[in-house]
Amino acid sequence: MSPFLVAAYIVFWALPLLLLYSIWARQQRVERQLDELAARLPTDGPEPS
Amino acid sequence: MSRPPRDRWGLALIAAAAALLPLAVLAAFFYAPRELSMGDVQRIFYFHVPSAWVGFFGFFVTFLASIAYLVRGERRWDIIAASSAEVGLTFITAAVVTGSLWARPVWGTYWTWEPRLTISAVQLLVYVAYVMLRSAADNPAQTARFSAVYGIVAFVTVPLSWFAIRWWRTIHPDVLTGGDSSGLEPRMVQTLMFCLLTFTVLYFAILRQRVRLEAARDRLAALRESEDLNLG
Amino acid sequence: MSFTAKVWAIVRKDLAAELHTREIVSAMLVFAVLALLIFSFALDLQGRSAVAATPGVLWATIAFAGTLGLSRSMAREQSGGCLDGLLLAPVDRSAVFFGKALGNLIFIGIVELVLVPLSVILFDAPLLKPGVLLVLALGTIGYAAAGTLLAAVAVNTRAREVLLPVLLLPLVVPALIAAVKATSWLMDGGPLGEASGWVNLLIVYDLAMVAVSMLTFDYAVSE
Repeated sequence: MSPFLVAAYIVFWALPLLLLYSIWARQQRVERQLDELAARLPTDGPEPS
Repeated sequence: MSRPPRDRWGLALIAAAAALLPLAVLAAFFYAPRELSMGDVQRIFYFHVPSAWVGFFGFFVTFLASIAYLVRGERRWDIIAASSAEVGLTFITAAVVTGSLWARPVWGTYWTWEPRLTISAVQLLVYVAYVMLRSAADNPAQTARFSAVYGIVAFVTVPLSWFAIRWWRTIHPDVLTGGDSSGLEPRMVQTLMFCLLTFTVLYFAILRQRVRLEAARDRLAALRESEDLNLG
Repeated sequence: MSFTAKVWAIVRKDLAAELHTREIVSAMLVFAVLALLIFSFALDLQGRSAVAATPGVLWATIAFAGTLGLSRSMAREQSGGCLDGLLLAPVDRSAVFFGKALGNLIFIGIVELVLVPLSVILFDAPLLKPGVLLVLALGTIGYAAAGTLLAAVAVNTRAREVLLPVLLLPLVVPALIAAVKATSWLMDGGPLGEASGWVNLLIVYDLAMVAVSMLTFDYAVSE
């Protein structure tokens, strides 16, 4: 099997997966920050709509 | 409540993509017949063309969302425009890189100014410009507005570029991508169609996740603002 | 004030300012001449290879030099506060766009008026034909329209002028290809009628760029 064929299919899988991983990692970070912030806010404060 | 409820659509899309992708690979490698002149390397075609398709479709979505944003001024259109650009950029990059990998064994060179590959490269640069513009703007409102303007103007040039590049290349005909435009066997067409479907589902699946990320960021920013208001 | 009068007022303002400082045209001109020289050395342009390469070299030079003028022209508005003044005035935003674009077109046109004869001399290229000049005009119109819009965008970002070439150049690909091909054809003595495909593409490009730029200019300059 041609090495170019293999390399191409690695690219096809790697790029979208890397993107998905990047999105997931950023999502985790944001959710962690959201949790920290939510814990700090007083419960009788104004809720964001 | 800082967490939204479970995203059913998002999970469904990911599940669908996860199911379709292995099938697409199997189809490309086993269902599709071996091409006569290029051999197995030609199988790159079945993922390369859908990657380019998503690359351009993504920018079309950005174009539509940009118009919607300028007309309505709603943040969610800006989110969709930006997210679609990120996803589209990834896929057009895959298309260009794999196009190059395909060119090497077939024509002996890593690059050929073949119309489809060339227009994909131009689109890549347009995406890069879009992303650079977004990071160069001063504030969120400006970012949204400026990138919407660019998303519209840039997309208008895409069909014009397509024609220009096509005519540019027919005067000096290169060896055409043998096989994929003439005399495609039925099983090849079926495989290609299936892969196009798979990649479209994949696009929407990733887009959904990217949009959710942006929405979460917005919630974070809003929460931070209300915290400042509380403390200040 | 009628639309045309407003447009003309803006063009006159830009021309007057330029007559006074000459900074835009001179910057573009010097850069363009240097670019021609650099191309000559880099591509080793002599004799027949020079003639064949001339359309490409000419248009590449215009494409690059143009960004200088476009940036400067928009930046001058910003620093003088003129743009805010123009936009506060009850002047139709599209009149502002046309005025600025026309001014930019004139500035680039002046540079081209020097570049073309210079290319004829340097490369012995038969460029002084009416068809070539038509293509020159057509190519520059679309470039100036999109360039004016994107300059307004770029100048308001952190990256400023540096961003304009990045934004503009991918968008002028169709015009560039068409202009170079048509110029090449005409230079070799081909009849204009047979270059109509390229010319039509340029016309469509121009119409599209002017229309889209005019429609979105408001969003590019509003606060």
